[in-house]
Amino acid sequence: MEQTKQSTILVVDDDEFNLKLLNKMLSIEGHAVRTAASGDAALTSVAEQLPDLILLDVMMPGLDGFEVTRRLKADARTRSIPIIMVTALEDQESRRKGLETGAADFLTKPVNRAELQMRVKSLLKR
Amino acid sequence: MKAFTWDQRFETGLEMVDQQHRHLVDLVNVAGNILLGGKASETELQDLFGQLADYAIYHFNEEERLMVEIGVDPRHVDAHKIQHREFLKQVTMMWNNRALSKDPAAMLHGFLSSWLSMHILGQDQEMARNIARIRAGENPAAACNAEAETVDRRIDPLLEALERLYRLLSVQNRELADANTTLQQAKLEVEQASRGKDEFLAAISHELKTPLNHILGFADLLKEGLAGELSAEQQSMAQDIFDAGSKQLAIVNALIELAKLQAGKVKLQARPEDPTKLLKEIATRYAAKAKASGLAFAIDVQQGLGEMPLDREVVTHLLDQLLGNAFKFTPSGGKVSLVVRRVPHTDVTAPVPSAADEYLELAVIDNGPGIAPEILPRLFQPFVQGDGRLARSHQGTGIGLVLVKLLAELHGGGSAAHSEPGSGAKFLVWLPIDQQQP
Repeated sequence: MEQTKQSTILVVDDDEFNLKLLNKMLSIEGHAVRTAASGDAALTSVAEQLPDLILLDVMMPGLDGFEVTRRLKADARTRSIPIIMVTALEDQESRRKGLETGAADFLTKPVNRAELQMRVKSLLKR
Repeated sequence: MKAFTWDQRFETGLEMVDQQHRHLVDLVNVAGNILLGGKASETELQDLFGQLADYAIYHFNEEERLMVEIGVDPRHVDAHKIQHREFLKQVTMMWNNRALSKDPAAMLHGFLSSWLSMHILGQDQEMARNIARIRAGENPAAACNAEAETVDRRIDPLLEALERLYRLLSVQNRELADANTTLQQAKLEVEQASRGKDEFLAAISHELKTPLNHILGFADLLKEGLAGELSAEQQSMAQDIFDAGSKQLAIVNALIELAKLQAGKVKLQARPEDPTKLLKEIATRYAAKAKASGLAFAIDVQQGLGEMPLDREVVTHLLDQLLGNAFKFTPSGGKVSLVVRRVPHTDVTAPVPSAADEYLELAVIDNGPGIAPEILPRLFQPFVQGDGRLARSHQGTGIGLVLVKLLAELHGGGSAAHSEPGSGAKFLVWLPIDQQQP
């Protein structure tokens, strides 16, 4: 990945305020941000255009973060997209499950701006 | 399992009598087993008491028949008849009172003690000796008067048997049978209530914190000028939103922590370790804060504290509360110290849930304004209602010190506060080092 090229990040969360906040936090860093408010919408968005990275909330009604990850990892075209899972602070079980399904990294809620930017940068460099 | 074991010393030497005694003992043991199992149905109990009464009638009649046949003194036969009636009266009473008795084992125990002492070990032993004398040619009246045997020797097997019986029936039955029925139900109810509480805590925690974190997130973007440049006043207001929100988040977190502690949802995870390193880490954090708020901060940790069971998270939380308070209430230019020592239990001035010989004493001392004597004893009580003055004059300390108390107790220790108005305050926490085995 060239440093100069703008990366596209897909942010998936069923909470509109979270979406707005994460969108802003990433766009001020120069990333192109797309948003999806559900697991289904996320899969549709990925099918339309492959993002460079996905920021994925775990707890969502309908398809949850684990299921979305499972499906993306099962598809050869989307397998290599790094996924950062967003979990509740005390949810160790989600971390274990997330690692098993193939998440590249984790962030806990509330997402810290500096931490988010650092993790995103590090994953996009790979 | 046999609640009551037959003892050779119970034998009268009259085979028929002993055989019947054994049968009665067997029936009592069956009763014990039913009661121990805690599953005695009304029909089972009725059947058992019926058998006990029937067999007792048969047994006493047989004994009386034997006495008459051998020709023992009528005084002896009459005394035996009184015993006979007494025995049946007790069986009937037990049966009638079964529903009233919360402790069927104690009831059975009482019955057996009187039966054993009066009948098997008393009357029947006497009868047997009487019969032996008559068989040896003595006159029945003389044989009846010859009662000279001391009671002492006879009382021993009785006491032993009763002690054994009491252990097995009373203690085990009370613990097992009642536990099986009542506790099973109670356990279910507690589990349900606990699940409900857990869910409520998780939900309320999420509902309170999520919007608050959104407020903080947006205020952060605003104050940092990341959503466009702001005037100095706008920037300052965004900062105010952020600061006020942060304070509220701290209170919400403390309340949730308190609710979890009070619901017993925080489990101690103590591992043996030397607290020195942990204390140094905490000290480093507060040294930076002290510098920023113009306070002198000193840490004094006794050399070679050694390993002790510690839950890092609980200890960190405890010290965060205590140091946070000290920093908050000590004006700029003041001094805060953290002094850590091993102390004997005699130095602990607070009630502690578990006894240990030695404690780790964590003392946070400041030279701030101190605490009024009328407020001091109430500092560790959660939310004293109707005392707005306390809340106003010590804003923010209310929940923190209650957390300190509960966290110290969770760690098997205790906490205390000392203060003189005008000369600072000293908060102490003691954590057990050598947990004594119960």
